[in-house]
Amino acid sequence: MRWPRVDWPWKDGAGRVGAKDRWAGLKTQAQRAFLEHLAPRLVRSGLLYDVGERLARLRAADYPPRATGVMAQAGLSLVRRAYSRRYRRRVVWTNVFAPTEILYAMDLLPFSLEAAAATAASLGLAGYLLDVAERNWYSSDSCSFHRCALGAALAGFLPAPAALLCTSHICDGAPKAFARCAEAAGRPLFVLDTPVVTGGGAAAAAESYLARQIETAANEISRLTGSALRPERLREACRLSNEARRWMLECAALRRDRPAPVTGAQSLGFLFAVFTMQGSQAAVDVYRTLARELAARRRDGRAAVPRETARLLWLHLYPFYPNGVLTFLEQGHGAVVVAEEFTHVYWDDLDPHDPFASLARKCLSHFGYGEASRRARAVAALAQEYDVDGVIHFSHWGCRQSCGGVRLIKDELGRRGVPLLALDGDCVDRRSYAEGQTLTRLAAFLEMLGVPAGHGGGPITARG
Amino acid sequence: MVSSGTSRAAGWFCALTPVELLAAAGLAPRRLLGGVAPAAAAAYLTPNLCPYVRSAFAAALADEPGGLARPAAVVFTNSCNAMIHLHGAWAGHLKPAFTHLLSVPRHTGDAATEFFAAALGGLLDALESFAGRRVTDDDLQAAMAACDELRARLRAAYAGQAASPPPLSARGLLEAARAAVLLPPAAALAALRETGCAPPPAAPQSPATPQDIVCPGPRPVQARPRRPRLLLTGSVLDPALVAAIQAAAGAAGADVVIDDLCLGSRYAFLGEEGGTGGATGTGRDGLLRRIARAYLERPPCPRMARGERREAHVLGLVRRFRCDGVLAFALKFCDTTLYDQPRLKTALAAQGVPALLCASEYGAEAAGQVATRVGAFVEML
Repeated sequence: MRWPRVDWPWKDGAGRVGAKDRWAGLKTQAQRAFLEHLAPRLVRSGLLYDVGERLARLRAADYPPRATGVMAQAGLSLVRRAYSRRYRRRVVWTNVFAPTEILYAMDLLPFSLEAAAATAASLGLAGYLLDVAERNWYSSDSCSFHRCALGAALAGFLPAPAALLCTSHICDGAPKAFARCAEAAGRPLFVLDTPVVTGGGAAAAAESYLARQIETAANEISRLTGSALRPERLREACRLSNEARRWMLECAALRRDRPAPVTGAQSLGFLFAVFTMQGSQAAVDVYRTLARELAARRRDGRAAVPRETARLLWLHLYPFYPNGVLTFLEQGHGAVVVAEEFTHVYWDDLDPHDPFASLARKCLSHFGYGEASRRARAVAALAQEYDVDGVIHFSHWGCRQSCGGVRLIKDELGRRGVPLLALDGDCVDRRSYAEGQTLTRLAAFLEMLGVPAGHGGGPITARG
Repeated sequence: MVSSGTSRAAGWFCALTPVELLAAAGLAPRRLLGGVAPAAAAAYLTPNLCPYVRSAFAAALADEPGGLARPAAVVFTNSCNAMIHLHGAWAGHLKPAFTHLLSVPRHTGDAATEFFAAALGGLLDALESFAGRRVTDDDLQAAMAACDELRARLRAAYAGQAASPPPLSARGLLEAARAAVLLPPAAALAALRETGCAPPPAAPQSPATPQDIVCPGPRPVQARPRRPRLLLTGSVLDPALVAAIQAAAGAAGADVVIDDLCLGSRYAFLGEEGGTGGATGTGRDGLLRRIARAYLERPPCPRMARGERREAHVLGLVRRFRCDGVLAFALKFCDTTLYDQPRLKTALAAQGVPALLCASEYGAEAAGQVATRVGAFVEML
């Protein structure tokens, strides 16, 4: 490792004048040196995840709900293995909608770049990684999830992949960002071109086209990694995906309870399972634990907050850096996020005996892709199903696929008397976050919903 | 093919729209280029969305149903998220008599062609229902032949730009490209003659692909001093903005000799044979497959997968048209182009070709800024 050059303050020919500034400069240099040289090695070392996984196991009983602990252990285990020598070249970088079932069938590890960006944001690393991307000419107008992931790939923070697997839905940026990541990693990229389904004969052709691509990608990745793609393992991965789906549906049904048994803040972590674990036993374990816990809460009459004042549906994702949004809503005002768009189960069971076609159907059935009215109708149906009082659309800067359809969603909800707040923000780039402004807008929205100002939702008890 | 007394305009946006089908159904294809300040669209489309899409929607909002900017029939493609949302807003708020969202693959090859041919079949079925008539194989073949001839004339004009100095002004070539997409094929052909675009000679043939363009030999001594030659590449740019860029280059002492734009050369060059293959075919399915393959194998735009094809295409244009520099203009919020630009810049630098990367609004509002940046770039050459 080459030691970074340091400008020591006392070597300034001007002497001690401006020493305070010089020390501040030294601190900045130290931070940069850490980020450029030490941090990538630390992140790649696996030690962090090993320690984290052990701690999560030790503290499992402290998580409310306990399924969060199961999730944390599974997630840290996955990441630890991804960075370990044993799994070298058994990692595949994926986007959030990639069919991970085919990877689990080959004992490969999906590593979601968007989840990595979210984690970087939570650890305070996103600013540096975004800067790396921007210094390499990538525009700050594009999605910060992908820019952050690209910065992480360029700066050497990510585990070495065997290949990259990405779908073209539901956003344009993913295949392009992944192409740049593939160049940075020097590994091949498989883009699953997901057509827009417009009905009629083209629907069958779309399924066939996508299914062929999934099968080809699976076979190519098998060849690259030397991991056999056995039919019985693929059937098992589909079966596990279906089992997790059933538990997810049970959780979704329990969250329709009034009052809600779990908050949006508590549900946030399970997005990792949605993005990276479908087709694995871990996803089954997480959602089974959660479903049983929510059922127990229902039996015991325990609610997420002492007094629920409003029920909210959250569209798109949350800010992943430390922020006060969900605390303000749920703890501060008792306005509970009872459902999220990204945890909605929109797909049918997979057919283990026709895996590629059923995975293609799963991709094609995403309500957020294709005609924008599909998403509007799905959101309206969700709002009705959960009997929400309002909907918050987090308009993530750079997310064209999501922000472009807000007006249609607003109109569709308006016909049903459900108000929508389009909350501008950025999920990953904290530099764009203005807490005061954001909370002011939320406060005004809550006022419109009739939630009393300054009402305390109260703390969540530590043991579920 | 299309009777002006009975034709109805069919609007389209993306160069991947197969206008042959629109013409075959008896409609008059007309590209909707916006050109209106996008502010009026703010209530319907988020401001951080493609300015072309917002401008096109704003133009439609300002027009009457059936007007030039708001025809009764509109075909969209899934070229990008912005275009999908334009479809949503258009169908949801303007409610024209006919809209269709066509799924265009990002890949090339047999599987993609097969799927795209099926998608085109779906579009044709929908057009038949709207037009109230069956589209015969003859209709399709005639439309394909007409569009092929139009593109051949345009390609001949582009081929001429390899000479030094180029025979057509940049403005003239731009007008020819605009005519090709704004008018029905017959009228567009007439307009091309007026702008001085020569009909394709009997020999040599009009170039099928940019790779077929051969640069002429050394210029005569009496020719004027050589000005720097520039390639303008990017996404869909407002003709007013393109004109501003060309004027800025001209004022700085350079010539934009070739473009790689959705409005320009990417429309003219189609498939390996330069067109859809003309009037031969083997029934409707065969003709649709031919159209599908031609569109997928045209010079790629940034939304297509396999960026190395695009890079090779741009480098090929630089070589064949002997360009001294590249102006790479992306629309703001055009993710596909913005992700491509750094790679393109690196590839051009490796060949010793300087490139100017810009992101701009759709219209010519920033013409002054453009002039400054282009002028500084030309000075550097």
